[in-house]
Amino acid sequence: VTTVGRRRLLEGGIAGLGVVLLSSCTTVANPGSTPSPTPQESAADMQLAQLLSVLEQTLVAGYASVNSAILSQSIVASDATRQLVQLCQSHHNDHIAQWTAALTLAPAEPLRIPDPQLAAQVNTVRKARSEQNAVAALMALETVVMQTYTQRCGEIVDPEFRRLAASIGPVEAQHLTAFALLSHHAGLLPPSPTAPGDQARPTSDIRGD
Amino acid sequence: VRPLNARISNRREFLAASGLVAAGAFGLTVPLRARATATPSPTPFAWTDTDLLQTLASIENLAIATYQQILSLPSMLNGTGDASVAATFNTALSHHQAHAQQLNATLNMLGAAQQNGVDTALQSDVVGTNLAQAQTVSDVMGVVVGIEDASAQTYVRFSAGTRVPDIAKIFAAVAPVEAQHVTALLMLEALISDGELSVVGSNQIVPADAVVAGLTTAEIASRHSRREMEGAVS
Repeated sequence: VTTVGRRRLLEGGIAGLGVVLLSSCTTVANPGSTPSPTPQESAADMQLAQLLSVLEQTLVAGYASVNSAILSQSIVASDATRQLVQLCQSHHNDHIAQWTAALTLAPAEPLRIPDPQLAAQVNTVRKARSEQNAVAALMALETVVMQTYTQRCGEIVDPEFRRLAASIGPVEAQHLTAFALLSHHAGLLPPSPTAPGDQARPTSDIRGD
Repeated sequence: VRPLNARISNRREFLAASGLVAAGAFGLTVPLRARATATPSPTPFAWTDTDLLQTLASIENLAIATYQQILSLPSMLNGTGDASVAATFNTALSHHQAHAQQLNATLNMLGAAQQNGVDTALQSDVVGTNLAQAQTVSDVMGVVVGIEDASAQTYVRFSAGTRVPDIAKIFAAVAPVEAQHVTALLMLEALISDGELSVVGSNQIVPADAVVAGLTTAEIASRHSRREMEGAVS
């Protein structure tokens, strides 16, 4: 894979993934275990892991806000919404714990803040005063996070970070499917055969540049 | 014998060996094209990314064959009398066709053999005689959930296993969709069980048990994932 070809692939959208790969890939690697990352790759991996951890914190901030609004009855929610919001929040808390453990082992600092670049989206969740608006705002946040996992997973070199990203990202997609049923979507499945990545967040979100 | 990854210290060095695939513990190198069609050597690193692509293609082919078989069953048995079940089956089928096409196009680009057969081990484990003996829609759903679950878990594990970021990215983009198939099918199963299929796409109240039925774990597990060389073309 040429440097230019790989960069083009990584920067490109998921939709054109197969085509770009075909035009840029000239080799297939093989061994059954992955090599140790270089120092530069390790640094990039840690930033990606921190970004994913921060995105999970962002989701928990959104879910906690909706849960609180449901409990205080400022949002009147169905039993299905109440249960789904609670379950998703518990999943995201679990994801934070996983990332915190992996980053601590790395060792790297597990950032404990929501993504500052998504503050407006979290505010939209917080301001929601109807079940429908809260669900729509949570779906928007879940979409960003799911796409970030999808887009960034292939960029991670460290085997443990990659395994974690690969096993969590699809669960975020499952949340979206459950929300599709809750939101009365006619189609439970997305039309596209691959998860898109156009809303994926960059690591500059946590670098502040 | 030094493991291959000890001899290839980083990805750049590895990728610099463009067009070559190391043959595991014997320290041999063979052209990719030859490796793709040769009988694999019994080495500690016996599997290649070609094997991963072919195995996933064989799982996709099994999913396609199974959905096609299900769609040919009477609607009383496959549930397609309900529009949401029919739409879910047809969308999932079209996804699997696209995945198989993408995997085989990638194999073709790499000069490796395409995989046009089904994963016979998974077929034996999950489909077996279950479809032929199915008596209810739930029996049919159970078969496709089994395939979709194995597929999602295999994509996830292979995403972590491949050394090639570009291939990991393909796997990582497909895995969420496979996981969504599992969730959609489990939700439909729960709605069928509740007698509430009509809520899909309507403004009726959705039963809570159905909404959470497809969210079984906080992470995708690997216990139902398939082996790396299970669908390799020999």
